[in-house]
Amino acid sequence: MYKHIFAYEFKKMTTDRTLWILTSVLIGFTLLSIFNGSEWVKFQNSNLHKIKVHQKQRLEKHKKDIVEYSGKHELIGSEAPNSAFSIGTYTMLYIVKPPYPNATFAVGQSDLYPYYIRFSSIDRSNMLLNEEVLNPVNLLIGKLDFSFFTIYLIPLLIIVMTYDFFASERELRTFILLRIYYPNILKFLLIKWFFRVGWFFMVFYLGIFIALVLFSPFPLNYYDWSTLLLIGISSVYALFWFALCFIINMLNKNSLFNGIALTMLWLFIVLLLPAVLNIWIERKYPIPSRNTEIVKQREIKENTDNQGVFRQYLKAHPEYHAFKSDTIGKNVIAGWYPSYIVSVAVIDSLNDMSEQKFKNSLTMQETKLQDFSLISPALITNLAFNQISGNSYIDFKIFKESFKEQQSQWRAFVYDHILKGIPFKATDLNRQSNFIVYKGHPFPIDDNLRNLLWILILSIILILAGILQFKKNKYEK
Amino acid sequence: MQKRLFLTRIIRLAGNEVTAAFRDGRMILLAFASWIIFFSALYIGYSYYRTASADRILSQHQVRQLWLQQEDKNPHAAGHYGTYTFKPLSIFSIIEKGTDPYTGEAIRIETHKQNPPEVRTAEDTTFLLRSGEFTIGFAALYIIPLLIIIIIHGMISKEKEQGTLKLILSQGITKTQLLLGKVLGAISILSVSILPVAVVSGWIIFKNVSTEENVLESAGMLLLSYLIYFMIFLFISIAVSAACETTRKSLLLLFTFWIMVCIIIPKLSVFTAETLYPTPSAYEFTENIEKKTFQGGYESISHWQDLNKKAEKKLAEKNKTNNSKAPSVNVFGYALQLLENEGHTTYEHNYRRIDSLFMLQNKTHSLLSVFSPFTNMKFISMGATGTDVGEYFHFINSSEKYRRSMMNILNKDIMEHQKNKEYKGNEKLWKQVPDYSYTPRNFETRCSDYIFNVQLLVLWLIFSVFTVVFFIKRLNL
Repeated sequence: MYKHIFAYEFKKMTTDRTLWILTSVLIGFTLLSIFNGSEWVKFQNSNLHKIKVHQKQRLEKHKKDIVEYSGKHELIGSEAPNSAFSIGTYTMLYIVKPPYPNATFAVGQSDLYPYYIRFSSIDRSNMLLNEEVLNPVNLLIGKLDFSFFTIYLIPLLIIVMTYDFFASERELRTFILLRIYYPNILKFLLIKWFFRVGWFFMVFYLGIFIALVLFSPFPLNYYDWSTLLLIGISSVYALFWFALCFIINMLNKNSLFNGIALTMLWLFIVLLLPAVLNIWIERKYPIPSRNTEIVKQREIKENTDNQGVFRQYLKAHPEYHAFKSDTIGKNVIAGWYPSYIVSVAVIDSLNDMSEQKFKNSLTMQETKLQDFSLISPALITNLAFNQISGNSYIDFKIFKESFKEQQSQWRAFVYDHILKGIPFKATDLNRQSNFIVYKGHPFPIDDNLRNLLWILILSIILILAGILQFKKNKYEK
Repeated sequence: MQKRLFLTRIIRLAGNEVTAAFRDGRMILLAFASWIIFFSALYIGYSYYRTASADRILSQHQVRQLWLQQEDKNPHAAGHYGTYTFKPLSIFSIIEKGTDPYTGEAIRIETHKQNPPEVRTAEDTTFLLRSGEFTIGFAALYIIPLLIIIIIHGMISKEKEQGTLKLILSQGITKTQLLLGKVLGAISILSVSILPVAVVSGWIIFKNVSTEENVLESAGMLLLSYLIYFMIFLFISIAVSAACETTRKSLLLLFTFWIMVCIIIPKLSVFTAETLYPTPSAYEFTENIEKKTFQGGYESISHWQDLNKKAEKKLAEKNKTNNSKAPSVNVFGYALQLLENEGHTTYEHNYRRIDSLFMLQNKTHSLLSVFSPFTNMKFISMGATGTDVGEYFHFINSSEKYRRSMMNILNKDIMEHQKNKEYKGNEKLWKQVPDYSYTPRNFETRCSDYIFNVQLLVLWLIFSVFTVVFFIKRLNL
C-alpha cells in the first residue's frame, strides 16, 4: 500500500514538475542562505584577524619606543610613549566577540551591535564608528540568512507543496476512485501527507549537509549538539506548518479556500503578529528617550567640578596621599590631567547608571517577548536562532558588560601608576592583553528544548485535530 | 448613443463585480480587517511622529541652551565640550519611516572629529523590528498587493470555471468592455479598503504640517506612485486570472509573484549589492582616518608639536611680509585651525567613499528592481518622504558644515584674543556660534535620485497593461 501511494504521489507531483521545482528551490535557498551567513561570519573573522595583527604590531612598536625613550631621557615628558598622558589616553585595547560556531545560521542582531570595542582608560569606546559600516537600506531589508529562509520561506514552500493534497483529489474527482482502492482513506491521506513531509525533510537535510560541507568556516566535527538543536527547532517549525496544512485540508474546503487561509495564516503568524507584538511591547515597556539622555549627560559633564571630584577621590583613596604636585617621580603630568581622568571615570559611572534604564527596559521587552513567543512558533524559532547563533540582544548586552569590566581593570591599573607616580615600563603593556577575546556565554538550553517540545506538541495537536475533523466529515462511511 | 452604451456596459459590469464581492460576507470581513490594520498603523505612526518629533526639537533647544550657559572656559575646551545636532523628523514618518531607525538621529559636534550619527532606534528595540515596522507604508507595500490578489485572482478564471464568461461575451460585451468593467469593479472594491485611510492620512499630514514645509509635491508624488504600484498588481492579477483556466492556478501564480517581488528579490538584491560593492569595516574606516589625521595614537602628540612649529614658522613668515604691522596671532589657535583643516580632507574623502559605495549598492537595488515593482516603490516612498540614505548623508554634511563653522569661530577667537593659557571665552563668544538649523533637501533634489525608479515603475505599469490586454484578447470562448 505504502509503495503504491508513494509511487502515485511521486508520479503526480513530478508530472506537473512541482516536486522538482520545490526541490530545486529548497536546495538552492538552503545553500544560498548558509553561504550568505558564512560570508558574514568570514567578514567578521577577517576583521578580527586584522585587528589582532595590527594590535600586535602596535604593541611591539609601543614597547620598543618605550625602551628607546627610557634610555635617552631622565624625565618622562608628556610626548613620551611611556608618559601618563600617552598610556592613559592613547593606549588602545580591544575586546572582541568572535562569531559563535552557529553564527553561520543566523545574522541576528550582529549587524546592529558592535562585535569589537576599542577602549582606552579615558574613553567608553573611542572608535570613530561603533557599528559596522552597513548601508541602512541593506539593514532595513535584512540579509538572506538561513534563519530568514527557515522562518519566512520554508512555510511558503510547505504551503505550496501541501495546500491541496486532499482538496485536489476531491476537485479532480479522483477521490471516489481512491475510496474504492483504499477503504481506509484516512490512512491513505496520512501516507500522502507523510510522503510530502518525508520528501521535504530529505531534501532539507541534504541541502544543510551540502551547505555545511561547502561553506562552513569550521570543520564539521566542531559542531556540537547545539547545531543539532538548531536544526531540530527548524525541523519542528517545518513540521508545524505541515500540520497546519494538514488540518486546513481536513476542513473539507476547496483548494482555493485552503490556499487563501494558509497564506493569511502565514501573513498573520510570520509578518503581522511580530509587527503588532513589537508595537505592544514597545508601548508596554517604553525605552526612555536617548536624546533626553544626551542632554542629561551634557549637563553632568558641564556641571562636574573636576577638581572637586578629584579631591573627593583622593580623600576616598588614602593610598594616593603622595599625590601633590604636577611632577610625580619622573612623570611630568599636565596639571589638569589627573583630575580629568578621575572625573571621566566618575561621569562614566553616572552615565552607566542612566544606561541601565535602557538596558532594563530592553531586557524587559526581551523577557516579555520570550513569554509571548509561545503564541507563535515563528517567534520561538526566531528567538532560538538568535540565541543559538550567539547573535541575540542578550549576547551583545553581556559582551558590553564584559567590556566595562575590562575597562575598569585597565583604568585601575593606569590610575594607580599615575596617582602613585610609578613610571610605566614596556612590560606593563603586557599586563593586560590589548586584544581580549570575549568567551561568550552559554545559550539557554532548557528554554530552547522546552520550546522545541512546545512546537512539537502543537504540531501533534494540530495533526490529531485534523484527524478528528476528518472523522467528523464521515468519509469512512 | 454607442458611446453611452459602451459606458453603461462597463459600469454595469463593474457594478456586478462590486455586488458579487460584497454579497460574499468574506469581502466585508476583509475590508473591515484592512481598516483595522491601516487605521491602527496610522494611529501608531501619528503618535510616534508626535512624540519623536517633539523630543528632537526639545533636545536641539536644550543642547543650545547648555552651549550658551556653559561656564567661561578656553574656547578649545568649549570645542571639546561641543554640542549635538538632531535630525528633525519628517512629517511623512507618520506613514513611512524608511531607513530612519537604522541611520541615527543625532551627531556629536566636537573639535578634531567628524562623528557619525548616533542614536539608532533599531538598537533600542527587539529583533521584531527586523520583520518590518507596522506603518502605513508597510501595509501599503505588502498587504494591499496581497489584498488585490485575493480580490482579483478569480475575477475571470472563476467566470471561466462557472461558464459565465461565455454568457457575458455572448451578450455583445466586447473584450475591451470586459477588461474595463473588471478594472473599474476592482478599483471600486479596493477603494472601500484604501480610500478612507488615504483621506485620513492626508488630513493628518496637512493638519500637522508647519507653514514653511512644502509637503504638497511629496504627497502628490507618494499618492501617484502608490496608485501606479497598486495598478500594477491589479493589472497583473487580472492578466493572470485571464490566463489561467482555474482559480486555484491563478491564485498560486499570483502568490508566487507576490512572494518573489516583495520578499525574495529585495533580499537577493541585498546579497548582490553587498557582494558587488563591499563596504569597509568600521575598523578600517577608523584606521584610514586616524592614520592620516594622527589621531588615536601617542604619535599624535609629536604631530601636534610639529604642527605648532609649522604654525610658528608660517606666522613668522606672515609677520615678515606684513612688516609686523598686523596684530599678532596666537600660535596655539593657528595650529588648532591647521589641525582642523588637515582633518577636513581626510574625513571628506572617507565619508564620500562610504557615500559612493552606498549609492552603488542602492543602484544595484534599483537595477534589480527591474524584477520587482516593490523595490522601486520602496525607494520612491523613502525618497519622497525624506527617509532615505540621501537624507542621511545630507544630515551628515549639514552637521559637518555646522561643526566647521563652529570650530572656525572658536579657533579664530583663540588666534585673536588668547595671550596666555588662562584665557577664557565667555557667553559673548558662545553666542557667536549660530544655532543649528536643518533644512531638508528640496523635493527636486530628493527625487532626482529616484528618477530611474519612477521610470521603472512606469515601465512596470506599461508592461502590466500590455499583459492584461494580451491575455484578455487571447481569451477563448
